[in-house]
Order: sequence, then C-alpha cells, then structure tokens
Amino acid sequence: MRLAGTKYCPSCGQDVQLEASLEGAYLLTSCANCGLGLGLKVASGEESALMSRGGGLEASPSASVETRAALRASRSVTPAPVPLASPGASGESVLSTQSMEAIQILAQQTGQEVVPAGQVKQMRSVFVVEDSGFLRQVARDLLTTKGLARDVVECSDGPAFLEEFVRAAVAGRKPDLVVLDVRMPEMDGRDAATAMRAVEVALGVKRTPILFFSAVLCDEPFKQMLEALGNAKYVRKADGGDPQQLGERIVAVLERLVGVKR
Amino acid sequence: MANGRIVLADEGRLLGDALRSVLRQKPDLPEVVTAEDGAAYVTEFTRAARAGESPRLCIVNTRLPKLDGRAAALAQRSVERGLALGPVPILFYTADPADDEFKAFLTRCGRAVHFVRALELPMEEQARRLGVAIEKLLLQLGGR
Repeated sequence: MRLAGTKYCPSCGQDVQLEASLEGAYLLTSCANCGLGLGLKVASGEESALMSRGGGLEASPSASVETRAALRASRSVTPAPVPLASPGASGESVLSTQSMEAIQILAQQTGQEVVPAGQVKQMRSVFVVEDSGFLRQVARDLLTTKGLARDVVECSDGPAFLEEFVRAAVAGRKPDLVVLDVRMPEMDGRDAATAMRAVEVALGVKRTPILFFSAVLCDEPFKQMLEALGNAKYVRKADGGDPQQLGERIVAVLERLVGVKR
Repeated sequence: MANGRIVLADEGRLLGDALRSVLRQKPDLPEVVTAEDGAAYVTEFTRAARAGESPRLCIVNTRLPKLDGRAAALAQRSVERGLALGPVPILFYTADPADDEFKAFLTRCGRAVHFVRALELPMEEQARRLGVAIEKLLLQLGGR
C-alpha cells in the first residue's frame, strides 16, 4: 500500500514515495522505487505494542488504548488475528484486506495519509516550462485531460519560471511538480532547476519534483545532474512515436515521481 | 547578510580574501560576503532578499561552478521580480574580453557592468583594481 508524502531514500538519493507493509510488530515503510526499508515504526513509544502471533498481529501488554482500538477496528471483518499476508495467484505474497485496513489505521496514527491503490491523486499545481508554445499546450492537455493536475502554469523560459516559482513559494503555493524542457534560450532547464533548488534552500521549502521533458539524451553527466538535484526524473521527447505512447510514458514516470495513479 | 553588504560570488578564495583585505583598508566601505558557487550565491541572495536585507552590490565572477555567473545573475533577477524588489547592481568580472554578445547580456540583465581581470597581475593588484572599481561604482550608485 502506498502512503502519501515522501521520505528521503539514501539509496535513490532523493525524496521518494513510501510503500507500507506489516512485518511482525511493526509497520514498515520502504522506498517505492528501490524497496529499501526506511523503517518507520508503528508510533512513537509503541515500538513493542504489537506482536506477531500465528501469522497475525496482536496487541502486546504494553500497547496503548489507541493501538488496541486500531487493531480491534482492523479485525472488525474477521475476529481472528489479522493475517499478515497470503500467497496470491502468482505466488507473490499479497496483503489481506484486513491487513490493509490495519495499515491504514496505523499509518494514520503515525501521521501518514494513505492513498488507496488505484485512486487518482490529483496534483494541485504543475508548472510547465517549455519554450515551444505547441509543446506547452500538449503538456497542459495531457495533465488536465487525464485529471493529473488541477492547475497548470505555463512558463516560456527559465527566468520567467523562476520568478513565478519564487512568487508561488513565498505565497505558500509551491507547485507539486515542475515539468522542464532542457534546451531553452537564455537559461537552460538544467540551470533553471539548479537555481530552483537554491531558492528552495533559501526559502526553507521541500524539494519540488522535477520532470525533465527533453530531446536531450540522458547520458551519464545528465544522470549525475538528476542525482545531484534529487527528486528528478527524465522523459525523452523523441521516444515513442505517437502522442498516446508518450503520454503513457509520462504518466508512468509521474507515478514514480509524485505518486499519481492512472 | 546585512543590508548594504557586498556579495562576492567567486570559486576561489584567493580573490575574495585579497579583496576583503583591500576593502578593510577603506573602513567606510560595506562588508564583503562570499559565495563559492552560483547555487550558493542564489541561495544567499534569496535568503537575504526575503529577509529584507538585499545587498547593496553584487560582484559576480562569470565562471562559477554549479551555476555559472550569468545564470546565477539571471536567477537573481527572477528572485527580485518574484519578491517585487528592485534590481541590485551587479559587477561582473571576467578574464575574457567582453564581446558584443556579453554586452547584450549585460543590457538584458539590467543594472550591470563588467570588469575585465588582468590575470597576468598578482592577485593583490587585481583585488586593488577591483576595489577601485567598486568604490567608483558605489559612488555612482549614491554614496557608500
């Protein structure tokens, strides 16, 4: 189950979406990209509140009233201890409905918002920075017709984007995503992204996910730049012939970058 | 970065140190704060501007790591517009002769001048000359 919000993954070198699973007495979170365990505990002071027994979760004697209530709620469908996992058709372990409910309740206890699988998480605001008016329109259409973004702000160059970004960030309206072309006149997308990160540090705001949408090849220096920027991905404009395929690829990357679901 | 300071964006500490040494001999000149790359410069400028403590003058080496001097200056201008602030004067210094393209950039940047470094001179002499240029510029800008 995917949790809303992000956490820094040292393996990926960036803020990542979190996957949650129940392991023994703990609600574990892991990186949605690489699977690295990021070790979020059930709740502060509740580390030993749950214990695994017979493949299910039970409250330990030290569990708080809230944790016991959460467990009771998670068992409301079946009175037996919550089964942690069962083999699916493919042989993979899948969480039962009861376990998912338990995750939901326990995740809420730890202040995490749960995004049920398959639900569309619409972004509030996306900045599209692209010098081609046509491609800006394509990006806007893609984001709005698929219901991925409520508001799309178009910027035709790097300086205009930075100005708009500063204005939005100061007003508490920082975008949920920035889609950046790489080759632009005056200030290219790489410089604009670096400057944006510098501004984010100055204003004390979280790193905004960046999707580079470009015809530039993602070579080794570019990959290193993505890593240095953090929370940044790349989609090549030239790949995938028709707009439908391109749209699908962009949405697939967005799933990993900002957690939107098709 | 208190109001009225000079911000120097330069990768090497040598010129910054030499410049500080020159400016210290002129106690009525503003304090110099340094940033070692373009990104750090943008961060420091933004932080100060947001706090209402915009520097009086920015001195920017055109060659900076992470974000070159031109891009950093353009980012600074964007920050100023985003915060509805006026442009802080920029003195670019470069080891290259200023060609027409660079002069056109200065015009687009606005409130910007350039100073060509004489690399064959000792660092102290470069700093002294830069100090003189800064003094003149500050006088033109309305006193120290």
